[in-house]
Amino acid sequence: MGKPFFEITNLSIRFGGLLALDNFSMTLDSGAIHALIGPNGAGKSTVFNCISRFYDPSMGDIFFEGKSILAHPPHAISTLGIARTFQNIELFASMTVLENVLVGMMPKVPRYLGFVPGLRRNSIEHHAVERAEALLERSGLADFRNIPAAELDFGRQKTLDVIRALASEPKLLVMDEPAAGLRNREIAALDKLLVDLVKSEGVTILLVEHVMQLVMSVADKITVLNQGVKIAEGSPAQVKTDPAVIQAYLGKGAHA
Amino acid sequence: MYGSVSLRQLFPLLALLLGGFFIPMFTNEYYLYLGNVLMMYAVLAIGLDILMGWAGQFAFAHTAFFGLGCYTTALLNIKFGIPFIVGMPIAALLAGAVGVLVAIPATRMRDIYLALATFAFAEGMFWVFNTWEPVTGGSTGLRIISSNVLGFKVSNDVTAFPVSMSLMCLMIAAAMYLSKSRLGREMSAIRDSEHVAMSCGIDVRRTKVIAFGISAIYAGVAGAMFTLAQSFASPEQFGFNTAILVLTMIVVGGMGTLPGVMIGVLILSMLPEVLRTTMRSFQIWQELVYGLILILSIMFMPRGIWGSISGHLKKRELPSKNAKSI
Amino acid sequence: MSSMALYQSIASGIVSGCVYALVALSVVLIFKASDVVNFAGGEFVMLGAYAGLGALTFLEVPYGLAYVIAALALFFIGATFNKVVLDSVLKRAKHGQRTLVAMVIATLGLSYVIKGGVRLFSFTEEVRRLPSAFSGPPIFIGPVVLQWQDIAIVSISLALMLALYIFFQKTLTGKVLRATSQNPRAAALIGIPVQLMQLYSWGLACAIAGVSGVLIGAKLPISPDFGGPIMLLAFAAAIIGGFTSLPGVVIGGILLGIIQNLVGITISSTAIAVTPFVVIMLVLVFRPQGLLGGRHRIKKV
Repeated sequence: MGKPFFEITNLSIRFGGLLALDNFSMTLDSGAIHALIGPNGAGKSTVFNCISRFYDPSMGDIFFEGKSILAHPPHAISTLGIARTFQNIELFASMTVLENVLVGMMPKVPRYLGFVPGLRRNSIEHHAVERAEALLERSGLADFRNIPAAELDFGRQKTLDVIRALASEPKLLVMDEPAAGLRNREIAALDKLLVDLVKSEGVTILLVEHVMQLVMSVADKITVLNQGVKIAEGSPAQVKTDPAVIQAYLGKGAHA
Repeated sequence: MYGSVSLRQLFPLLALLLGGFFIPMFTNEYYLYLGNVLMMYAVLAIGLDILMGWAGQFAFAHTAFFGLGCYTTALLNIKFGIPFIVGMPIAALLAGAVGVLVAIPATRMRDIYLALATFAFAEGMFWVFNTWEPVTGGSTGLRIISSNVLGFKVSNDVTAFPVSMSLMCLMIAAAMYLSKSRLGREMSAIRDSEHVAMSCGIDVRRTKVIAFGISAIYAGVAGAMFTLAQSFASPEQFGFNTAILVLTMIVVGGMGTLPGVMIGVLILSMLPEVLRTTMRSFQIWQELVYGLILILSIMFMPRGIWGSISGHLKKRELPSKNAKSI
Repeated sequence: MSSMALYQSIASGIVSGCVYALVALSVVLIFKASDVVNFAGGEFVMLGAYAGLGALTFLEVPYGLAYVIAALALFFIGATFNKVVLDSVLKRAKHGQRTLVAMVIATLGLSYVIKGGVRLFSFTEEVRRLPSAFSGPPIFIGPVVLQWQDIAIVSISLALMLALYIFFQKTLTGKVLRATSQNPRAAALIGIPVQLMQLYSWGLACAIAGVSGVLIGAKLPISPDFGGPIMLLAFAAAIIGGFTSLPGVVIGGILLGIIQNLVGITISSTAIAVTPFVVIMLVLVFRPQGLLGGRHRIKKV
């Protein structure tokens, strides 16, 4: 079978006196959509911040395509092929939509001497802009290319966040609550987008989400975290009826 | 922020460059002096803007590199007879190197500590300029002798003008290319959000150090231009007052934009002259006026004059919000 | 170096250190309350010195009242600046703009306005000194010689620091101010008027700066330019102590005073001027959190 596409093994991290993650392990299969759920404060964002290398775990390891990513600094992660979207849509607020996409594309744009004119420089820029425009075209944001990201409405900002992440042509897309704040129609569109991404681009998706409607519909496998510990894992049908999961949510239940 | 610099955009620079050679022929020497000073401030201000306005790093070491560039160029000429055309690049590169050295520890710090550490460095350099008398002439200053530029002798405002103009145009062109480059985008991304920039593959620390270095090089070039415009260098010129002056220029004009910075430079270089002719005892009012300008600008025009103007112009361009999304 | 010179240095260092500590307290108070570094701190000290001097010379009030007048005047000026300028900057901030930078720039402007404003009065052209609060022959404590003014400086400073401690730890207003500094968002949710609290913090901090101005004005000659070096010393003291810790800042100030004097007798007196810069850079490179500053919290993404 070979090495798993993405694997977290025995990850533990401590903040002061608090053990935010306790021996957490998880495996992702290539080409699947995997959801990480759990009540607030369970540690889901902590997992993501470890993947992004913003945090250093006290114990454990994270493997991507067989190699540990813990040896890498945060800015090397996207070059490895992992891209991320953020919970509170952190975009480059003062930069335009097109520029945001160009920055997302950064790992794929070759370096050149920034202030010296030249043919190679011109052609690199030209190609980058072309590809960015194509991405904007496909996602319906082309009309907004010169608008500063901060001035877009919420739904479009979310779209831009995804496009920015996709611009680096990642193999693994890590999404932090992509459905937060979206209306039903937009959630359905997001659902379709995620499935499309896997089918046509071969992207593997790991998402943290609270909106159960999306999770149940789109996920191939779900992992449930509660207070830093994995309490359940399986298909949506399995997880939905798992007593430990229902207990963790304290009977609030999932709004399906 | 992307693409190439078009000939249409370079055209004003070419016009200025030509002007550099023809204007001195029929202009009063005093105005040429003002022009030389203005062009020096332009390079200095653009350098500071690259660091503060583009890369978002609030650092105060700029005047240290300004002084370093000036003293190096002047001393290379005085002690070793090295002509300007060689001395200036050496001074600029030295300033850049010191800038990088300072940046390496400084960029590890959080914003406020970065500001204080670079402020401390600048004041430390000021102390060096003031105390190292055998080399810098100390507080009594250093007499600058006329320099040799590509054969002809630059000894007064008339001969300095085309040289200053050429340098300024060169540095503006470099800034234009930089702003439309991958590196320029990296800097702006860092300013807007460091951790998103990191997850997009940008090595934030490395880019910050580069921004510092580039900014220091600009300050070094401005320091070299100082030796063309003035005949006397004293540490006072490279102290906190100048730092505030340059900061005011970019704040009033518009941080982060080339036209904005140029507007700020224009207004604030000319201000002392205007005030001198209207108010007899300007010297006493100088600080108060600068302080008020800074406060009022930041209160009512935080994006500067250029920011306010372009803000009004852009309002026409928003596409209909009803256009379909996904 | 004789041991007598050493003890004298340390004693004088403690005296000047108390003043640095007070000014540093002023800066750190504002920083804790609103995340803004008040670059005009030194100018407030200078203004306080002139206010005291003016009260003594023109209003001919008793010395104690001079302190009060300086404190009140500066409380008012600091609070006004906060309300008029800083609130305006906050109000006009659009999404994505960096308001902190704008506010710090405003304090830079303020320092120039104060300096320039003070210079307009011909009264300030000559360098002056406040008369000593207490006169009398110098006191001998063991090998150390001190003036009455020095004793006054130390006692008033310590009394002020003690008063602040009691204020912040024991009184309701003080606790509310602390809560607002630590977590403005939570404070707002409870119903604490955050902006008003920041206004009070500014006023209080400036009042402290004013008092330290009157204290130091009796020992050193004052001029409109003397705010700059004081500011630098206050920063150095704050950084040594750890910018976010009030007790740390007090220790930092006293340490700095001692270090300066030691540098003066062991290296040279010209080196004294550069000591704060070197100290700042050394501390920031090797131990940025200073003596008592906490480790920076990892930013939650």
